[in-house]
Amino acid sequence: MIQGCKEGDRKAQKAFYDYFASKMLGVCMRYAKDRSEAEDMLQESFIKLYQSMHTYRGEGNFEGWVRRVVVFNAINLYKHRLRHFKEDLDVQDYDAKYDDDIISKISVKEILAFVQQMPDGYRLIFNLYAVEGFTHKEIGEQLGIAIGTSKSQYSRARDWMKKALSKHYHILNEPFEQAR
Amino acid sequence: MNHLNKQDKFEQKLKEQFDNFEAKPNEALWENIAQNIPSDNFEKKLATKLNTLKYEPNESIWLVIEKRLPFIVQVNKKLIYLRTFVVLSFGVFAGILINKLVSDSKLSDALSHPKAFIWLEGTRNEKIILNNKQWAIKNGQLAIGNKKNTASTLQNEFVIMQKVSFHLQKAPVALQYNENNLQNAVSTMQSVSGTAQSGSSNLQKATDNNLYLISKILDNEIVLTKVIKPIPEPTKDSVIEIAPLVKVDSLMVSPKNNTVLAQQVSDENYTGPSLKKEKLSIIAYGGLGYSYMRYAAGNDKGNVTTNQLLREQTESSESEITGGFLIGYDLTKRFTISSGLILANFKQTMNFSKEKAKNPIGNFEENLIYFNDTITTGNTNSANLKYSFTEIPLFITYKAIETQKFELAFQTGLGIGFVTGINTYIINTNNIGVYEVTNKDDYPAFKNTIFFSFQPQFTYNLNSPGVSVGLMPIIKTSLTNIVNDENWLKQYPYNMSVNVFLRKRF
Repeated sequence: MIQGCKEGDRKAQKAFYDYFASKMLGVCMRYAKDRSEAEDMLQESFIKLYQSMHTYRGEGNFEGWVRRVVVFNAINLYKHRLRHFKEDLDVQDYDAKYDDDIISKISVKEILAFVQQMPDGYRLIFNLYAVEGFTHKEIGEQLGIAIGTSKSQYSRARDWMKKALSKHYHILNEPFEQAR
Repeated sequence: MNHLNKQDKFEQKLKEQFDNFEAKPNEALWENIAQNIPSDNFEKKLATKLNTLKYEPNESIWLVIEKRLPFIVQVNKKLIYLRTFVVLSFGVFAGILINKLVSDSKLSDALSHPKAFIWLEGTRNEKIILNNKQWAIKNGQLAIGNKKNTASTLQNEFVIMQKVSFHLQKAPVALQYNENNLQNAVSTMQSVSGTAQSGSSNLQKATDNNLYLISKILDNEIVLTKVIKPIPEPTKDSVIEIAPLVKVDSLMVSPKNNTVLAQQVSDENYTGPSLKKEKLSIIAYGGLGYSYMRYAAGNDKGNVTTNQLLREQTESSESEITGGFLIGYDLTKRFTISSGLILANFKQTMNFSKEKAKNPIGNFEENLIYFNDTITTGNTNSANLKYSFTEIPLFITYKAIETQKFELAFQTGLGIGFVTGINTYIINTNNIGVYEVTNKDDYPAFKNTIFFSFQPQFTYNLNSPGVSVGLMPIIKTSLTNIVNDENWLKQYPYNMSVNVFLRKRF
């Protein structure tokens, strides 16, 4: 399949798309504001993947390489939106304590909804650090920002997310807790 | 010294003060710190959860990607080399196969040509049946059998044997003369050779230097009346003088074997031991060429210079298979006229980059992509450009040099090129956006053209009658603009190719 893609074989390209499209749309959904934007991102990512397929030397995990291309495409797409970092996150005025188990009790689509609510810059840094495992130094290099900026933005995003998840969970579950 | 002691005391006091200094932090500060200590596995749990995300994409996404794929498919050079190798291999294989088929049928082919000498090369003890009478070569002699005795039909006929020898050398040539023509033939041969001997009734062993004239065929033997020598090798003059011969019919070689080689020469246009040149010929050719595009200003002169420059800079030549077949008719010994069908394909690659246009067009046209981008030189995008025509040519060929084995000819002429396929990308006249043209009617549309071609032909005549192979470099150019919209840049494709061809005269 990989060789076929390198040679421009349309059937191989389609098979490659069928295999990775749904997984990579999941990745794009985290970086995009909504599904429409994610699908545009997916489209561009696959174009990039076919374009750069010849650079894959067969070393390392192929899916990891595919995912990395998609992530870097997202980085390039949102780089120019860094001005949005000046936007602030809506303060989550909820004081309930964040419980470590909350994440496992909330569905992934609900978590995704909160990720997508973040402004572009926060969302990008949050994804890169929390999910992709980039260091603040790497994020700073990729986005062209100071390490400190990355740290502070992530800290705010993390705090916001915790409160958001906590609020969401407790609002949904409080009535039942009271009933008990 | 005292001054320094004082200073020491000051700092010591200050240190003591600070060492004992304590300030109670705000309680919220710890909460902030505690929340950011990664020991809570927040990132790990979140990543695990989010990495399970899967969404089925809309079906239209692949269609959009597929439509854009021609832009990004990298040209695989290895594939081109492989394709070329396959085509050439196929050509060689087809040539060998045709040659074999022609060889197998050469005897019957030879028999269809009257007034012809037939040279046979074979081993001893081959049997030849002439007019239902079996002839056999035994121990270097020609004998006639009586298996199918129809002597009565032969009694007034004569056979000339020429250059009888065996062991895969020149072999017997048996041709019929009727009685009326015999005297002419004998006289002619005498005049050619200068010597003629009286007839002999004995069957003689043929040698490479003897020519036997068999004056009459009796029931069971051949009567040699003349021995004329030497005509070691038929030459143009000698053969011409032997005319006229009558038809050789019912000549068969038994047993059939593939080692028999028959060649025939015309008594009129003998050019060595090769087949008489027939006037009709068919040429099939194929090869590989490189295409280019010549531009000229259209009626709309605006931006023409920058647009033309950009297109010239972004487009580069690409290899493409060429081919066709031609049927020729010899007008004279030197000139041949021919026509046929030719695949005239022109292929290029366009490498470009794009950037946000300062003044984008703003309105979307159906086949205009990147309509908000200014196209620039670069390598971020790549596209294949292909213009396909089917050409019906009319060529005239001049044969400049001709030897027994080799020919050099020059062919030139015009052809009508009918557009059969367009799959290309054209940078907009203002360099903003790219038109994707997958149909000849897509804007700006393409039209038929006239081609001019020039092609030297280097031909090698194979041993098989009338079969030749050769090399044919071709230069082909369009004489008329292929773009339908006259306001656009005018395009004149041209290419240079090298082809191998197989020619069969019939």
